[in-house]
Amino acid sequence: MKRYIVFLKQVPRSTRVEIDPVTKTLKRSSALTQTNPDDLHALQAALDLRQNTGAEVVAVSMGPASAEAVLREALQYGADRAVLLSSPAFAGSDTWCTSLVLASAVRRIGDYDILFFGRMAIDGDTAQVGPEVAGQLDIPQVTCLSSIHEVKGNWLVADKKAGSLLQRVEIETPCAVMVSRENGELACPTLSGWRRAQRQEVIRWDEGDLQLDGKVVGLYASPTKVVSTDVPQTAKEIRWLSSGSSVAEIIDKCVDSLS
Amino acid sequence: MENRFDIIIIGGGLLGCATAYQLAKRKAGRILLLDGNEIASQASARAACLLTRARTKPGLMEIVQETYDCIAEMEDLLGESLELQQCGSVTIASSEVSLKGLEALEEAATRFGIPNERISREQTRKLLPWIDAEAVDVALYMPTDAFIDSALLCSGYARAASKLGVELRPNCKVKEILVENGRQVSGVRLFNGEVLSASLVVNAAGAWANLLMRPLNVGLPFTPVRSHFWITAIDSERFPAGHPFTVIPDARAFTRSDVGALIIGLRESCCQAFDPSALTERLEDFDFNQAAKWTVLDECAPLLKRYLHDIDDLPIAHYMAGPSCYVPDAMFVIGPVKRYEGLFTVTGCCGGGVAAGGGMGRLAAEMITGERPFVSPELFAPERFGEVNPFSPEFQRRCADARSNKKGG
Repeated sequence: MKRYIVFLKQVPRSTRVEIDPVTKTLKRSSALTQTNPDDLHALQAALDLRQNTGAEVVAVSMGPASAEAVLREALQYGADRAVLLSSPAFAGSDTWCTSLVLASAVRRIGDYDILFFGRMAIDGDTAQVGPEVAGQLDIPQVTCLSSIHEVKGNWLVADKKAGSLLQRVEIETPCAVMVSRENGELACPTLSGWRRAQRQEVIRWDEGDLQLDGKVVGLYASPTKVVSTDVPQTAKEIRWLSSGSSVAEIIDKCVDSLS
Repeated sequence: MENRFDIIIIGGGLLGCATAYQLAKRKAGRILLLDGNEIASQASARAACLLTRARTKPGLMEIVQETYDCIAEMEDLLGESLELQQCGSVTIASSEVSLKGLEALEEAATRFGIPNERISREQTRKLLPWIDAEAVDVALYMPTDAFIDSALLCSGYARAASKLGVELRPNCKVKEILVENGRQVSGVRLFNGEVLSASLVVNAAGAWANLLMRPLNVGLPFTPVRSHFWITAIDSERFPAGHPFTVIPDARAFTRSDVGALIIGLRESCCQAFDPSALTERLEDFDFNQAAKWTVLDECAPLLKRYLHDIDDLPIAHYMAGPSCYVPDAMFVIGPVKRYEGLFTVTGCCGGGVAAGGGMGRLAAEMITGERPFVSPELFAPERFGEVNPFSPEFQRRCADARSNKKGG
């Protein structure tokens, strides 16, 4: 049976997140959270393909214990299994160290056909982790995947965005794909799906389970050093026009102020 | 003179804006309305939007009627529609207890002149294509009930008030209510340090109102309690736009149409109160407990299942939670705070701010301007529970129970 592995990240729901003054990284515990939107497109691509090819869909997330919520959500949508990669040793990992952990998890899971990532996470905006995992595993990859056309034997035929163009590509499996939002939305979840997800096990692995040296991952092993994090200053002025007496009057004021 | 007003209203939600409108109609002087965020952007934008006319508690039908009157007035004043959706309502009884409630509602509606009729299962099925009508023992149809977009209604009050001269200042957060000589309210201080003077301050800050009262050693008798509803995926055939909203006490539920989807409101058996001091400045940043989206639906679905058999497999597109300000007796809080001269409050919507806002604003305005009140103000007196501590878990539990035990829409 084929196996598709989908990677999902828990990210802050609000754009107003606190930054740790020492590590300069996001204080994830201080924010409301959600599943990274692009990762849900990746999950949708895997579930859609499973319908045509049959496959086991494994959802994987790396993060604190609270990241179990994104895996429960993936199970609710229909993933077959879920694995949480969680350890204090992983905390503060940059994209390189994260890709080390994820690649180790893929090796531990075993045979696979396609790795599905979201195009990028909304909290870091790097779009690096998926390509780096492909690099660690030495497998081909497609970035900005907008739709999967078909699977022909060991070949995946897909469309990817290239600027304003769409490229039809063929890629040999096992491979990694980074899915963009053009691939489409998941169907709305249901209560019965939620109930099923609550009964399923979420497997937890730490560095020992992955046979990783804890010193090669985490904040201090990360080659990326964040020197400072600042909110960009803007000279833009906000003018409130909401106190006009009618919509037409507010629009007139808006046009006047722009002209 | 620029910072000197006759009345300062704190809170740009439904109650603050409706009070501003009603005061402006009465030419009550130079009025300023402040909100820490955008007008109509917080709890008032998270309402289920029902305008249920028939009520069994005293004074409430008059208050709701006033809201309907305000909507018509404001549409004239603003020259635009506020998009009231007169869809009608159906109250459903499937037990002895709920039948008694329905009969009381029927009697109240008839007494007040609200059109109502009992309808057959066949008629119920026709009006509500999604319902399993076999579960319905008695259905009471009120064709003149309506719903309205709560944010549009709230901004309607604000814009009408503005047209009548009220100054609106969104994004101005009040730090404290100022008092002179230990007794006379003199104005407010903003977080930016600016002092605005007025001899009368109306605290209509909703869920945040008790935070402003705390330094004055005043506890208003309410606390924010989580209200929430679920919106299904669009299925226009089954949930046609504009079909009547329902109140189903036996399922602790209401429903209403939402452009081809169905809004489902449910009350859990033990509602969740929040300590006001835990509230964030903006509700977007507040954790209403994300897990409740499914845990509460899981708890309540079995009751609704007899009316909506496939609730377990219905695609759920959205979930909306917000704070409703509940009072132990589920009645509003409107009136002067007697410990201070010039301090007034309009709050404690008990989940009825959309339906009752216009009337609550009218009662507040009449009391402030010395007019004869159109409903008895004693019912809503802030001090009717004696001294309360809204920050105590025991009091918050009493407020949450008021929602848990609610029967109507």
